[in-house]
Amino acid sequence: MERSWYWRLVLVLGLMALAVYYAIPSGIYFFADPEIRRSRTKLAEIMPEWAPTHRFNLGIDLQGGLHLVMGVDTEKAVQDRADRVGDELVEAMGEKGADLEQCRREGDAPELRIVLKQAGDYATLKELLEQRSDTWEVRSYSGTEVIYGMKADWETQLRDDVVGQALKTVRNRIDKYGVSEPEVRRRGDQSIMIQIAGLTAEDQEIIKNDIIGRTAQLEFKIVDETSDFFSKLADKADKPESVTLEIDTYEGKEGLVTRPYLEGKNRQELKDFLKKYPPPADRIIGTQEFKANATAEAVYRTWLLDRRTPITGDSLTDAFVSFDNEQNNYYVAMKFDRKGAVLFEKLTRENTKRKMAIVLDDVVDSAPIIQGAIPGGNAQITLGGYKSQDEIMAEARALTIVLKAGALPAPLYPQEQRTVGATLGDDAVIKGKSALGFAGLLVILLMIGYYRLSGVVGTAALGVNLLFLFSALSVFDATLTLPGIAGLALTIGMAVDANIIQFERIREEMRLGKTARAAVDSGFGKAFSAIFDANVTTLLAAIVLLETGSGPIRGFATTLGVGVFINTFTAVVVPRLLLDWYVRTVRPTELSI
Amino acid sequence: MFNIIKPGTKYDFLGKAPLFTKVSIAVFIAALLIIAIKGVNLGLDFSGGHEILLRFDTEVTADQVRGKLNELFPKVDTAVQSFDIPSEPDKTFFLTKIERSEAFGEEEVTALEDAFKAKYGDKLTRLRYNPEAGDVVEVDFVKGATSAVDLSEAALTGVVEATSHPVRLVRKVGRPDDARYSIVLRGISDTLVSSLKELDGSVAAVRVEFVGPTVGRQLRDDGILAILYALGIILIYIALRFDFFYSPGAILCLFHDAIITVALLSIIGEEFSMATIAGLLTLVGYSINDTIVIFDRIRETVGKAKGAAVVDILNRAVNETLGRTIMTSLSTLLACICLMSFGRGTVLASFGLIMAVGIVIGTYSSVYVASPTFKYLRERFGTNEHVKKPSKPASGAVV
Repeated sequence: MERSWYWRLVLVLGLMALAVYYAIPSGIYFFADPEIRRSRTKLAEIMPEWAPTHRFNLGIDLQGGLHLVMGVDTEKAVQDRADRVGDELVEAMGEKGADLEQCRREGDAPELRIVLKQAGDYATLKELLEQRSDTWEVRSYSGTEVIYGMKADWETQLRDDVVGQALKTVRNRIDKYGVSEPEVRRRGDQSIMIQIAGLTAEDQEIIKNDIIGRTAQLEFKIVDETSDFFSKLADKADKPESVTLEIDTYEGKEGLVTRPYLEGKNRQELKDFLKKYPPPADRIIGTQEFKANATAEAVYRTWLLDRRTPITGDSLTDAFVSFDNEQNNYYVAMKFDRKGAVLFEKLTRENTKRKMAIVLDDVVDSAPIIQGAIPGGNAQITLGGYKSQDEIMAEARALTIVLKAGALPAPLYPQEQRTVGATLGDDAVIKGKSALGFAGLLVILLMIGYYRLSGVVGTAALGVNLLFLFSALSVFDATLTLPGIAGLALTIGMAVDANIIQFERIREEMRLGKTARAAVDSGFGKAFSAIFDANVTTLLAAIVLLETGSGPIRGFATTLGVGVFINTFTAVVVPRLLLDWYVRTVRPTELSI
Repeated sequence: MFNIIKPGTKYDFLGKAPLFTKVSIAVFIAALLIIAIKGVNLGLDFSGGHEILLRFDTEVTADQVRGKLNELFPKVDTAVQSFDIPSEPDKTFFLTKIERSEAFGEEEVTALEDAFKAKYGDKLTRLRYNPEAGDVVEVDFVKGATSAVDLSEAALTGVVEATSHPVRLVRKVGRPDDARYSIVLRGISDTLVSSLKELDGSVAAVRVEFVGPTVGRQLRDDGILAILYALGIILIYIALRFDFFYSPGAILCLFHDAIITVALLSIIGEEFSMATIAGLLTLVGYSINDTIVIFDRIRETVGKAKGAAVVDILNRAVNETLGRTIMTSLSTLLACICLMSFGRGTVLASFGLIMAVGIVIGTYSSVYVASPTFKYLRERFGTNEHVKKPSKPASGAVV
């Protein structure tokens, strides 16, 4: 045999070993009892420790579950904001002794019609209106009447923020509820898609109503600076290995403060561990998800917080990103209502140089250091660290979304909802398995019956192909749905077709009187361009579908695209490898094809 | 070596092309007409509405369920059909469709507004109903109305329920001194299940699908756009890899296959869902695959057989790939039959059906749509001198 043949053999065997390793979790998952499949803990029990963490998932049509698309009523959020601005103007003018005749929104657009009692009050009003010149504009002014409207680009951003904030809240809550592998993401301009597989009917109800029912709870809590609770926990014998003790250091009131905290890669393990040890009496534990940088894996850390909540999000009227020209940096500006302003000043005066956690639905979002007493209800959160301006800007945007979550409710309404009962999903899996099984069996019989030994070679290639597909889907954490299975069927069909093209070509070459060896060499060579072009065209189609399609179409495109890559490799390399060996080592006078 | 097609077969495929071209054009136009006149049966994904699969432990008839539906939704199109789940043979299943996603039609909103006005007079400032939001009505009263009129949950619920819309909850919204309430109605599936409980306590909704009105349109537009973009890119690729004489044939072929398949589905009343789109995409992919194999052989033969007539080159390419064409179609058909028989009641079956229909049409069109288009373009616009028009009527004799 030529040296290149051995290299190809090593390559294929190496890839196969790798593929087997990565396919193991998906294999265990796919063939497990449905009951085990639905429970993350039971699944973890049967999963070997050395197995990789990635695996594919069954979609809700295959294992039951909830698919929900919620529209965010941004229209209403914008109107509410306009009404609020109107109320504030009325209040502020009243304080200055220049009561307004009228100040309200008259249509659906975020535009206020302000009528002055005396034309002379306009100077006072103008001063107030100019405070918002970034976001609002005077559209017309004559005598006692002013039309004051929200700027269009600000309105767009506001709508965007409202959706972002709703997304964050929904994700937070579902995470807190603790179902396995929820998928929550934005769909289109004003919708949020929620997909949770394998839920009981009760869970589905709770989630549906929980998501629709409540508005977020935002709280500010002071971080504990004295307790050694976490250091003690770190010495416990039952501490999971994934949880480690870390130290947080910052400049406090009386010099450097060093605070111990626990960090874990697995949120559930960390939570389960914390549950066993209650914190000191007047303290609670908050957890926070964070990443060292954009590409790093998320880790979870703990905070020990004062149980009291001196101030909640209800007092917050606004939060937005601003730029500090002196510091040359972005910061988050917050505005409190009058009651909130008093509370906030007290809180910041008493806790200067301490950390204050911003907590949304019991999850810590961030914990900036209070730089000094903040009077007047206008507070700034400066974001530090060695980050680029873009990163700080993005972080500031994210923080305003959290801050506003409690202050600016936008109703969610269902746009699309699909619930599939668990038994129905199991039924679909059984049908899918038997349909694919029989289809595979018949195709193999046809291939072996017609192409004999070469048919066996084709079957082996198909097996390798399926193995690669299986592990590729695992590595990408793909979700397998019924349309996805359709995509798989197409790739398998194309793989078989590639072999048929090759075998027919080899037959033609043999008819021309070539030896088995020469026929195999030229047959494979000539078949390549057709296989290549067919696969590239399909790959292009898959990419377009992935870019433009939505939902199930994307699932279909993913399996198709991944399948094409694997196909082009396996269909070309594997049968060639086997037939090359056959014609060179066995040296048959006639090839069984 | 066993051969389905005898080696060296030289059947004059292209000789029949003029006839089949007419047939293809006629069938294609008929298909377009069928789609235009009969339309396609849009499923829930694209039409919006509710689809609820109900399970009863006891024997309940479809008429009983139908009766309840008509009673609950007198003005809405509904359908009930019995459904078979082989793994639970002792239970009764019904698939119910309710062709509406929003709680109120326009008239009903007016009726509701009138009911509120009748009760609260000018204390009511506004009734807001967003059909997109489906099940929420927001009512606004003048500030301080709480002390003048009864705005308790029971009172508000009473007004709405008098118009036969069950209320799930009433929430006070807005600022503390506002008198603004948001009334959330019970969803259609909840209403249906609770009223069917009177018929039989064991009723359960095992699958509920709800698609709002805009989402349906969006899904449909996305699907159509995706297919069109895909076609465009394929056209460009084939043009670059082969040349511009090839790609129009491939694209015509795709349209031909897809339109005729859609028309056939329209005739048998198959419902269009996202899975159907996925099936059609698979069909498109498969059809391209088939066409490219023949094109590849044409390209190769053009290079080898200098001086041969276009029609002879095409005949030779089609004949030489015939064994492969039949084997591939046969193996895929076998797989489709398995999908259809084992996947009954799921999208796998409708997927198998589309593919089975598509394979037959696709195999035909690669030979009789793609190849003749290529022949026409090549003979009409081709300047390549080693390809010339046949000197005599095609005999099928090659080189």
